[in-house]
Amino acid sequence: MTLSSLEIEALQLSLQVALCAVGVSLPLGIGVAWVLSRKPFPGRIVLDGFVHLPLILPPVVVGYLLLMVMGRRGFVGAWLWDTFQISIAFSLQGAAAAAGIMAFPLLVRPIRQGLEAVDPKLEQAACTLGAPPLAVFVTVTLPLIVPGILNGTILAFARCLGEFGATITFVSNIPGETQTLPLAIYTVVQSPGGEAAAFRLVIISVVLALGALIVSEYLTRKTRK
Amino acid sequence: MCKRRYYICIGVLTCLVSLAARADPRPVTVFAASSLTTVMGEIAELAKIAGLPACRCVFAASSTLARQIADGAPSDIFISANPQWVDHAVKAGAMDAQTRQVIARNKLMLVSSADAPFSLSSGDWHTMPKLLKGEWLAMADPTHVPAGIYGAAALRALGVWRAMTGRIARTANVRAALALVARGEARAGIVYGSDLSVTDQVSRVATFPEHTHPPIEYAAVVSSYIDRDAVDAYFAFLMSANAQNRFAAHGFLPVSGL
Repeated sequence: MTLSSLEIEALQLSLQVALCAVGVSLPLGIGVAWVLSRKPFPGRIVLDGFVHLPLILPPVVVGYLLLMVMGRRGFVGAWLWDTFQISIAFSLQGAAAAAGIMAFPLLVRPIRQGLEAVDPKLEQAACTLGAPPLAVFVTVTLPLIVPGILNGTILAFARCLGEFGATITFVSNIPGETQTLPLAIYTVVQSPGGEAAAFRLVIISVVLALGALIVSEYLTRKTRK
Repeated sequence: MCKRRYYICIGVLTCLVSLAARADPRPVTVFAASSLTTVMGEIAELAKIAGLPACRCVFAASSTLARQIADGAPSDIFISANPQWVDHAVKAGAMDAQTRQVIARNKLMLVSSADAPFSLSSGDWHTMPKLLKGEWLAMADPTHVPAGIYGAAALRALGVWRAMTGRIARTANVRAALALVARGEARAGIVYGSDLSVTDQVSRVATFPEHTHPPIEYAAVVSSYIDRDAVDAYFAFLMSANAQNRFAAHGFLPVSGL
């Protein structure tokens, strides 16, 4: 099975987009999960709903909203463009942003469940022994929620690899820039005689997805020991 | 053990951030109507041989591309299958109206799957709904995609549009309609004359008379944001005899050089 340069590019881009998206949203996800599970405040249900919105909304809506906000005519995007001459719409960074937002609820949920399962007595014990709150979080809480973090990371990574609707709406389908695996598959499926290329890309996708699952299983088992 | 894990995490995160910041020079980016998919690929090869800079093409329905360009997509050259969507991109300020040029023309055809061909004797367009035997007619979405707009105009002019309602499979662009016919999912399709050279699984049934639809002209414009010699050279190359020959070879009607 030999891949064309376009297919290799799509694979590289997909990995890049997924890694960027998960890398940037992981610290944020841990923060949000912590706030949602530990800090009761009046607007919590709103934040909770907001975080879960990408899970329920059609992806094309998320892409359109991103375009309205971050596009060159969008209210944040126009300001960014006028002041700094930067625009994330129709770029790799935009693809990562779209994928990251779509995957965010999947990242937050397992971490939050992990946090809720942590025995507060352990943290209290560390506190009574004089550890400052940040040290308690880093040395006691974080190691205890590693399975949740791994689970969320792998789920989010897989979701990022598969992101289609928000991506094609927000960053178009530019080969070598934003044409990730699903978009490349869409392109070849739409053209007559694209079956062979589609088949190769589908195989790559299946291998990637299975690989992510196997790694996740392995890591979960290892951390449980 | 725990410490090492943190160091690994920090290392990975650093890699990710550096991945996100790339600064390669951008190749000439051409946003082109999907009916140009094959021919623009060949022209890109020819341009490379002629010593022009690298180019990458983005293909989709002209309407989709125009909308993306208006929203700030990085298109150096935009080639639309109808003038209307060039106007849209120009009005948004993204494209330079001064550079506008028609680079090729096309014909509109009714095609069928090569496995199940049927014929339509000339002038007998009113029999078309019957010939389809209740099966699908694939065509680009007539609400915005140029091939669909031309197709709907032709069907209306021939008086069969209403009879066809409900039997039309709308696709996102003309190549998707062609693919549906090639796979035998649709009994017939409305595509451009140039699309026939793409696959041998589709055969021509009839050509729509030219008076039934607006002239099919591919208009090209250059971005108003970018002023680069490379883009201008590429734009000029589209009108060269070399490129125009490729258009002719793929069933387009060239506009110059021949």
